[in-house]
Amino acid sequence: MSNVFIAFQVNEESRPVVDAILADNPNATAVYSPGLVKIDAPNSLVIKRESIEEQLGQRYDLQQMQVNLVTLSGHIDEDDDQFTLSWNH
Amino acid sequence: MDTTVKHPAMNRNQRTQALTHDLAWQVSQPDAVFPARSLEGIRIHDWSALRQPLQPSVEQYWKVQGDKDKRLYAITDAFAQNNGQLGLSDARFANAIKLLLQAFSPIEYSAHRACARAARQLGLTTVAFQAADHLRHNQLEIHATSHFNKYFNGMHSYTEWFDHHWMLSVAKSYADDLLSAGPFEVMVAMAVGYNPVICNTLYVSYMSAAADNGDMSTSSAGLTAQSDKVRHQAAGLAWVEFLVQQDPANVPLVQAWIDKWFWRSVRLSSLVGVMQDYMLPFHSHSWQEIWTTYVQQPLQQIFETWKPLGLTLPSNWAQACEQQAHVSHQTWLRLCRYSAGLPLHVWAPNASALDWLSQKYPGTFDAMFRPHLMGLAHQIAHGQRPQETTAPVLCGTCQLPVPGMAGSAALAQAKNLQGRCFCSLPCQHIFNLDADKHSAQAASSAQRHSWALPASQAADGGLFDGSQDEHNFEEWNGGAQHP
Repeated sequence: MSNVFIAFQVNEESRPVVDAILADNPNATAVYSPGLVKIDAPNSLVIKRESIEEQLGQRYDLQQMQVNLVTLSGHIDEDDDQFTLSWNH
Repeated sequence: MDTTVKHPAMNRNQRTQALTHDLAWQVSQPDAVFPARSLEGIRIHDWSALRQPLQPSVEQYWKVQGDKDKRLYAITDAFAQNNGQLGLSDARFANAIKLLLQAFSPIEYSAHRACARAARQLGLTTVAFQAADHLRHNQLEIHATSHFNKYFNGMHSYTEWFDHHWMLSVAKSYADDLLSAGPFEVMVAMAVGYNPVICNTLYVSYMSAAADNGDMSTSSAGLTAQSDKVRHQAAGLAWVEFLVQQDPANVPLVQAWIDKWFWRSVRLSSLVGVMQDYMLPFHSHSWQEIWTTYVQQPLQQIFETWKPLGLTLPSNWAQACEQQAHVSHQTWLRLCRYSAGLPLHVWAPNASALDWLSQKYPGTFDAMFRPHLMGLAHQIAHGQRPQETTAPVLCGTCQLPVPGMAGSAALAQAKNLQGRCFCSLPCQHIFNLDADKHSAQAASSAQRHSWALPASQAADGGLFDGSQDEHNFEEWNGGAQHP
């Protein structure tokens, strides 16, 4: 089993994204270090627009995520509704 | 009467495809428009097969980049207005900022130029965005560190030092190698060298640690720079896959670039190693831990998925991984030995720093490095600090000092060999792949030997103990009556 990860700057814009990821990926864990939150998940991790919108109470474009994105590992599969990281190729 | 036909909505990837990939315009003479596409031996049969993950439209690009900069400059302004320099963990930490500015910011500028050229030569919008990103990174690092330049030595002449100082020759030669590479190679170098080895360590973990040491300015600049580099990384991996899938003849060429640029990046990353292990008064993760989490494990995964494509881990992989238990200590001891002529300050780590290193590097630190660092502390305490005045012999490829070659006799020997002295077998191998190009670089390194910090810049170098930086920082914090 191999981990994928994604990291964001810690701020009020990224908090609902992190909360949505942790809710949608029960196996994911968040590790905080100063200014940075890194989320690890075994095999794959999915980020859903709808879940972020529920957290935010307003519309969200997954492109906005890039403002606070710091790094990630895994192959990316993305469309308007979700963003998936995995090592399945 | 016309009826409106409603098309199903396209998702973002389909829109990008529709907007950018088919203008119903076929270039009748692609070789004339893109002559550099045929110079490196890479064979491409179908450019439309190139996937470009995370690629924004131009409109989205400006919007997202504008949002990033608004956030960043609000932070750097607040930091400056609040006299953020007083809140640094210690004035020693300023030396990490100096090294970032001296060694890595100029590489960003070179990457900007290399990508701007590659974008034109290959005809790729993603690469044009990347070129603009690297210029942004260069500029925001200069802006974020400019506040410190008002208060600390060692930053004012960083471009001059980058061009001339032997300590920064490792970074300068890396940038020059990138600038003189063909466009296919440049993009592979970014994908398998610069991004995964340098950016994923320097702009992630180190920047987080910088925040912990009170430097919100550089930290925010680094983290937001990295948000662009994620895009480069995703596009870069797709680039490597595209090249090897286009033609089996591309595989050995790409593998050779992987071997070369991974190794060059590993050698350069020794500077990130000292920043992480020695220049952070509030310790964070060790360099080796960061290497494992952000370089070794992700690259292992990537190369696992690349096996079916015929690509393997870099030929020097095992050697690179093994080095990481030693490299930061060796680099720091070397900087201390040549402290008199460096454009930054060095010091002997205190007892708690030594204990931390010993805990982080079980098996190597106590046996190999602690005695030397304790000896150094003793020398400094007794006014016998090392005063090496001659620059060391530099490796013909990576431009880091060659172990065991120092002093005027060694320099004369290196001159006879026309710079063909190497720190390691991988460096010798890289040199031989393109001996003409690297010989030219080795020749310019001879000029660097004769260059020294001007006397007017004496306050920029030497030991931290007794430096103007140390004195000022104590005075400000004593005088400012902080709670």
